[in-house]
Amino acid sequence: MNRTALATLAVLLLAGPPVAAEEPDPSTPEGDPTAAEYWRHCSIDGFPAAACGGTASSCPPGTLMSPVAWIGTCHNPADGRDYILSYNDCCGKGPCGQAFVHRNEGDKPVYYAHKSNDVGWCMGPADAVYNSTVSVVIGVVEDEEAAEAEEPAK
Amino acid sequence: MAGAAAAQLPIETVGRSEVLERAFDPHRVWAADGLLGRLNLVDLDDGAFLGQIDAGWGMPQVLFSPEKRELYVPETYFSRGTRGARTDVATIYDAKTLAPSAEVLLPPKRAINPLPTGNAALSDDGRMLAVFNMDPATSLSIVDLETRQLRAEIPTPGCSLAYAAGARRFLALCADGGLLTLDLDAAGGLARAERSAPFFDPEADPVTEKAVRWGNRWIFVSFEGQVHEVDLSNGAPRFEAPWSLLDAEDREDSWRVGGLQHLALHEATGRLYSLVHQGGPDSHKDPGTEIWVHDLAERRRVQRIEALNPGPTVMGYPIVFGPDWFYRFALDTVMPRVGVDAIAVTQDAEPLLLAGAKYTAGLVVYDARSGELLRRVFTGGMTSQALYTLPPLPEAEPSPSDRSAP
Repeated sequence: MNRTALATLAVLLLAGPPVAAEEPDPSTPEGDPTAAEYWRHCSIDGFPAAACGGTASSCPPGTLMSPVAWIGTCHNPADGRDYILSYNDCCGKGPCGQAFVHRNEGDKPVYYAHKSNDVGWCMGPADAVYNSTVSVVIGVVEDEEAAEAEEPAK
Repeated sequence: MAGAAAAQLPIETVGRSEVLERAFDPHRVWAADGLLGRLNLVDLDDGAFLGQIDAGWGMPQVLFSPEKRELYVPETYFSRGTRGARTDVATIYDAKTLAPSAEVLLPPKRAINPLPTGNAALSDDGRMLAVFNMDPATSLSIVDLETRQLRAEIPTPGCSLAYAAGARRFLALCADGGLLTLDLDAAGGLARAERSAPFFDPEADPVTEKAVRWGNRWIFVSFEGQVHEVDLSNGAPRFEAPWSLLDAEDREDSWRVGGLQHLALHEATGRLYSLVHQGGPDSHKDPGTEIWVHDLAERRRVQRIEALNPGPTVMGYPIVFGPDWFYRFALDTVMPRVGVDAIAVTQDAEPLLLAGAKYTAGLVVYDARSGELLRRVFTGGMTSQALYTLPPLPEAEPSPSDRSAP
C-alpha cells in the first residue's frame, strides 16, 4: 500500500507512547536523529534541528519554533508503523548548514502548503530567518485492515 | 628622464563608480544565490562579472523593465540580521547604475521559499508589480510602479503565487488544482476575481510552480511529466488536454522531470527545455542529468543534451586547473556527473542555454540550438539556484541610443 493511500486512512492521535512502539537503534543512520537518513526526516529539504544543537522534536538553543508547519508521513523501521510528522521550522538564527537533508517524500508544491517543504514556515511569532527543522511525531497512521480489526462490531 | 615622463600614467579621479554601458543585454544572466541573498550579473559571452544586487533574506527574484531601464526586486530585512523587526520592500534599481532609485514598503509578510518564479510578477503593461504573501494566509501586494505606491493587498484564499497573464491580469495556482484569475482596475485594485475548475490533481500528480510562459500560454509541467498548457488568448483560461514529455520507453527507464528551475523556453522557436533525471517518486527536486528539448507546436522531443558538470567553486572562487583541454577533460570525462538544478535560455536569435547547480557558482553555457558546449562561466556566488535572463518582450532589444549612452 502506498503512502498516499495510507495517508487517506484513519489517523489516530497518540494519547501516549504505544506499548510496542520503539525507534531504531541510535547507532544506525535510521536511528540517529543527527543523520540525514533518520526515518523521521523523510520529508525534509533542509537541516534537521537535532544536527544543529536541538533534538528531533526541539529547536536549537536560542531559536524559536514556528507555530505552523507542514505535515509528512514517514515509516518507522523499528515498529513497522507509519507516523504523522509535524515539520516545524526553527527560526531566528542563520541556516544551520549541518546534515543537509534532501529527501522530499510526499512533498508537494508551495500552493499545497500543508505538505510543502519549500514553504518558509518561520512566520507569526517566529517571523525570522530559517535555521533548521524538527520532526515531531503527532500521530500514527493505521492501515485499513488494522482499523477494521480494531473497530467494534456493530 | 624625458622618456620616463612620457610613460607616466594619467592622473585619475577618486570617487568614481562604474555605470553599465548597456542597461540590458540578452546574453547576460542574473544568477540568484539564496545563501547570500544576492543576484549576480554575468556576461555569458566572455564570463565577465558585471555587478550585483543584494536582496536581503531569501531567494531573490528579479523582474525587468527594459522600457524604463529598471529592475524590480522584492526584499526582506530583519533589523538584527537574522531576527528583529521585519521590513519588506519592493526595491526599484536603475538597470545601468544598479543603485536603488526608489523603494515601496510592502506588508511585511511576503512569502519566503526557494522558487525561481511566482513570488513576484509584473503586469504585461509594466505598470503593476504583484508580490506573493504568505503568513500563512495568502494574498498579493500590488505596487504601482509609476507612482511608486502600494495600491492594494488582494486576498487569495486557497491560492498561491503570481503569474502575469495580461495587461492588468495575474493568475494564482490553487490547492484544489484550479486557477484564480485576478483582473485589476486602473488604480491597481481588484476589479474581478474568478476561480476555474481544477485542471490537475494536486494530490495524485501536481504541477510544479516552475512554469514558463509562451506568448499567451502558460506551460505547467507535473511531477510525472504531464504538460498542462493554459491558453489565455480569449480571456478566461482555457485548459488544453495534457500531453507528456515522456513516452512509454522513457517511463520504463525511470526518466522524470525535476530540479529547482527545471523548465526554460525559447519563445521565438517554441522550444521547451526540461531538466530530467532517472529516479523514483518524490525525486521532483533532484538534479537533472540531461536537458530534453521539445518542440511545443509539434509536441515532440527534438533533442537530448547531456547536463555537463558546471565548473566547481569553493566559497565562490572557481577551481580551475591545468590547460583548458585538461580542465574540460577532467570535468566532462573523469568527474562523475553530479547533475544540474537550474536552466535558462536567452531569448535572442542566437540563444544560449545555461545550466547551474546548487553546489557551485559555475554555469555551463551551451549553444541552445545545437546543444554544443560553448564555455563555462562563474557567477561569483556560493550557489546558483535560479537563473534570470531578459524576457522576450518586444522592447527588450536595447536601442542604438541605449548602446551608445555612457
